[in-house]
Amino acid sequence: MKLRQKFKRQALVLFFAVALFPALTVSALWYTMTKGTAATAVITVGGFFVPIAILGLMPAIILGVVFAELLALPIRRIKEAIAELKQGHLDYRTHFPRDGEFADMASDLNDIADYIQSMLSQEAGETELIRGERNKLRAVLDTMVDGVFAIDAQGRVMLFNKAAQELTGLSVGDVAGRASDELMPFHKAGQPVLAEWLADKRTIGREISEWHGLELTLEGGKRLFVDTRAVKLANDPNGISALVTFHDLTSSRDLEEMKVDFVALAAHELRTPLASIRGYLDNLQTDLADKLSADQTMYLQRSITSAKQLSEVVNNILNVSRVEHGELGLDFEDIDWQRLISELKTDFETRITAAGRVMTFDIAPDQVTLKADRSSLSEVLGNFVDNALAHTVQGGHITLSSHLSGGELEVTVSDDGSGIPTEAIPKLFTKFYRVEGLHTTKGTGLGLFISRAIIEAHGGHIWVESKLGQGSSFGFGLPISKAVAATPAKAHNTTKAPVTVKGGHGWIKKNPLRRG
Amino acid sequence: MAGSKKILFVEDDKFISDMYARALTNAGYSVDFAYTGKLGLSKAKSGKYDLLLLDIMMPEITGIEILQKLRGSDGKGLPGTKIVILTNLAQDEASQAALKTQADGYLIKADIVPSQLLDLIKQVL
Repeated sequence: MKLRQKFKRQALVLFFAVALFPALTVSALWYTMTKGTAATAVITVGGFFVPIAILGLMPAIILGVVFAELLALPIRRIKEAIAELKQGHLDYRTHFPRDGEFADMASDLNDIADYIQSMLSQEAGETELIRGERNKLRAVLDTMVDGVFAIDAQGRVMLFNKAAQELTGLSVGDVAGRASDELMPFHKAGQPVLAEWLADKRTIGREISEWHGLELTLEGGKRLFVDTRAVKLANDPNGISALVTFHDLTSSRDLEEMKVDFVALAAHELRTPLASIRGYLDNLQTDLADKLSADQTMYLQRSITSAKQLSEVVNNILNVSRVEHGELGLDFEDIDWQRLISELKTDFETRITAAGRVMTFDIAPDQVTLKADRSSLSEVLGNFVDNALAHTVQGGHITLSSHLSGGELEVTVSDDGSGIPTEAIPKLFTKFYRVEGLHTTKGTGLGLFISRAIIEAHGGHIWVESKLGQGSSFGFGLPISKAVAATPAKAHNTTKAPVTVKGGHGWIKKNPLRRG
Repeated sequence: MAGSKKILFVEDDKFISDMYARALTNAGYSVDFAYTGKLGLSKAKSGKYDLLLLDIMMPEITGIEILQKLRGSDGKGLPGTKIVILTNLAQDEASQAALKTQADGYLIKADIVPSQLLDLIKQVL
């Protein structure tokens, strides 16, 4: 029932109680006053008034209490409901049978309870979801082949997946809270690459950095060879500062090495029978020099040339395998550049004029000493000359120049031949790139690859400049030990100069310590 | 001229030995053979050879070891004999050091043909 109606009722009742009483009193008074004296009036009134008043008051009081109670009851129920909700008994519901303000209040309270309950269950659901996602992530991390770890802003390990544990042999207990670059120093040629990247203030944000072929040397001597990726995180709620993944290459490197070993082994096996073939052909040539027909002489000569080329291919293969193993076997000694160049000059000149090209030399007269391996430097120059030959035609010009530049010895071989197309240039110094020349004498294209390895092992750098149709220029720069600029070359006082065998890799070195 | 210079060829591969030997003999040198390291060592010790051509890769004893035994620790052994090492490999550092101090030179077998060897021997002897 609506409150207003209740109050109306209450008021009505009270009115009757309040109005009735005076009305009765007045009418009684009037009656007695019209009928008798004041005294009798008072007595009559008293006689009538008191019992009537009592009669009137009693129901009034009773009714008053009842109505008050009727009002108080729903209020009390609402109060109870609020108290229950406050205590967290969210299932408590209040219901009033009839429409009214109290019924509205009750149903609102019920709605509030419903709402809170649904919010809570939603949250519970979300927490479940999050937990589920977390478990999924954990599962992904633990089934990954690659190692993953996360570090905090102080560089301490926060996360360390199963693969990381297996690859490094470290347990979570070993690494948790410890500095990652103490435990796992990623480096390349002695440089602590990852530590530097971590410290580098410029790399913040989501850029992913990658490194190929890093080395990881762990306590206890274990060494891993890995591809690594890392990303820095900004404002991660879990406090992760950087994430690092690493992929173990050791096994694939071993496989590579086995492959390379096999090739090297095979190539090595070829050498001895090849030497036999070449040797006996040579003997034949010597023995039969004047006894063969023109054709037969040609057959013999071509066999010899082919065998020589085969031999060079085998040498190249072996050299590539050495490059890949990092064992070039270079024998560094102090080289007098002028002397080396003058020895090679004659050899190159003969080769080039025989091929009908024109050779020029432009050697700056500076006295330069460098720490180098004589035969491999000669090989690089020979390779450059061969390239020039392959790209030029009869009458083409080839220039070999050398001079000091910025503390380095710069040597270039240029030609005015066909040039090299721009797309081909980045691949030139890689394995198996075959220079498409007009007269390709070499078969494998490994020469430049090996040349680059040789020059870089000397601490130098190698380059090419070329334009299609305009010719090419191959060059290298080497660090020097000593340079005396532009004094005339001194006459060399030696008993016997070292001899270089034309085109081959064999030579006899005069032992400097022994006399005679 | 070749004169009657004596050459000892220590090499276990008969094809290779033969191949070089013919060229050398035809050029007038007097060539002797040893197909094992041990035999080569004992023959060389006699000191009657002007030149020793020593193959590195041999079973039982390597050319480097023979070289060291002949030259001795002071490098002065067998002064009358030149020693040239024949090899097919880039040697490791220890061997290279030995070669530098004790041999008169080395050749890479796979890249040398007999006629070239002859030229080079003329230089050494």
